[in-house]
Amino acid sequence: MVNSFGKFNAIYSNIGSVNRFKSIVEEVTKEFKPQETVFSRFDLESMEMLSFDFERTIIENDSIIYKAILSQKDEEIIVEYSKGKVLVEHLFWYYPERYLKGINMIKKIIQDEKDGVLIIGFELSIDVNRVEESIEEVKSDKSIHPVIIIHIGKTNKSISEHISDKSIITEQKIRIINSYIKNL
Amino acid sequence: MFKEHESPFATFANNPISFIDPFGADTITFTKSSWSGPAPKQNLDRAPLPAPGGSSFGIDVKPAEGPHVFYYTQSHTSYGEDGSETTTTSTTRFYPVEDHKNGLTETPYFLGLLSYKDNDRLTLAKLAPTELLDYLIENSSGWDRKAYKGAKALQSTYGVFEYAKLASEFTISLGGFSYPFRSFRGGSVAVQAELKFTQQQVWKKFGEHYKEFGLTHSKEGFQQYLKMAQEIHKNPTLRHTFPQGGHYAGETWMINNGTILRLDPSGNFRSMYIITP
Repeated sequence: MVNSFGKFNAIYSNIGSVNRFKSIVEEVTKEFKPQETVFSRFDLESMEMLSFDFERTIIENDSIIYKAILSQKDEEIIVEYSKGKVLVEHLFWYYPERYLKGINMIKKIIQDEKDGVLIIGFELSIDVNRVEESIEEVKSDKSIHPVIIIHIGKTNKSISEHISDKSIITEQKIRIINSYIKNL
Repeated sequence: MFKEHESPFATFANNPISFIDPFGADTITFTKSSWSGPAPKQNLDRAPLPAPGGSSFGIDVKPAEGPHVFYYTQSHTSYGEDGSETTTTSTTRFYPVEDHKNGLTETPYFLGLLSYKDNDRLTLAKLAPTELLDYLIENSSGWDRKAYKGAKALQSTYGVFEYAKLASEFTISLGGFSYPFRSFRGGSVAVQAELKFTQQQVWKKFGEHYKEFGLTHSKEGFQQYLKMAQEIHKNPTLRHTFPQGGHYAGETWMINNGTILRLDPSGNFRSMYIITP
């Protein structure tokens, strides 16, 4: 078996703050119990990747994206922050399809928030500094389909599907996505 | 073959099988592997059970001199209760142009209870994804071309084996098609355009995939990841642009040694990861 589709992504985005970013990272560290955690930031002006000290050097700065990558054996949770937006991403290989630890974490975060958007697909790219534009891009770019978008309100969920075709591979992807959503 | 002053991309731009020498002959091997094992024991710990049997299919295209040469390899592995395994393999050359009767495939009739042994052209029709037949038609002449066209006509009557369709879908992902490029010689590789990317997109995907490559999450690791993408872009073993209207429409995949570089429909870096865990 080969992992040709790329990694499965479930990306939750919401309005937040540096403090919310820090509290989610701390919560994931406590609950998800990552085997490895790395931090990096990206400077949108100099287009440079730099490291940072999670405990000391996080400040509000519109040109900086902060990222924490918390890894388990088969799953990762990546938390990003930029310009008042927090992005929580759950990733795993569809083979072997192991995602229970991460999905429990995502569920817990969504429960706390009760308002936001969850984007599900494979090898997606949602930029935390331009979430709305990125969502529009994945919706209209058929080469990256299927993409499922779930708007999570305080009382209800609305699901929209973006699927360009129904070939054999797409069906396999949809099965994995459906299985994930069922467990949410 | 290319002349030294010509760019290979001038001829092959956007061709999904662009690294094949169109004037050369190829050895085309269809391989069907199957396996069977004992019935799974009681699943006490709810662990996933291994499938008791299955099969895989692949197609290999290698450059060769002279007319196209076709082989069909079938292998079967039986797994015993004690973990032992026995594999039997047979490889048969078949002749779709001459239309010999090797009977490598069969056509059922009378409610599927009886079957005819197929002639080799029909065997090719059943085993080859349509895009492979199109490639053969495009790159042959005379009787050979007529024969491949005939195989395509048979395909519309008899259909293609489901697993062959799957091989078409999995052209890249299973490495089913393997296209060594012999056309790239001398300076012709140098005309390849540079990889288009944004640092932010590479940083994003580096964060998701650096561990697979054994890299550290550092500036140096990031540079190595980017360099690897540029190397694959410059010199891929296999390149495929997906046609519009289907899965991955417009994406380009470039593969080297189990690593896949994906470009979005505009040719920009989308991601790079290892496909064989």
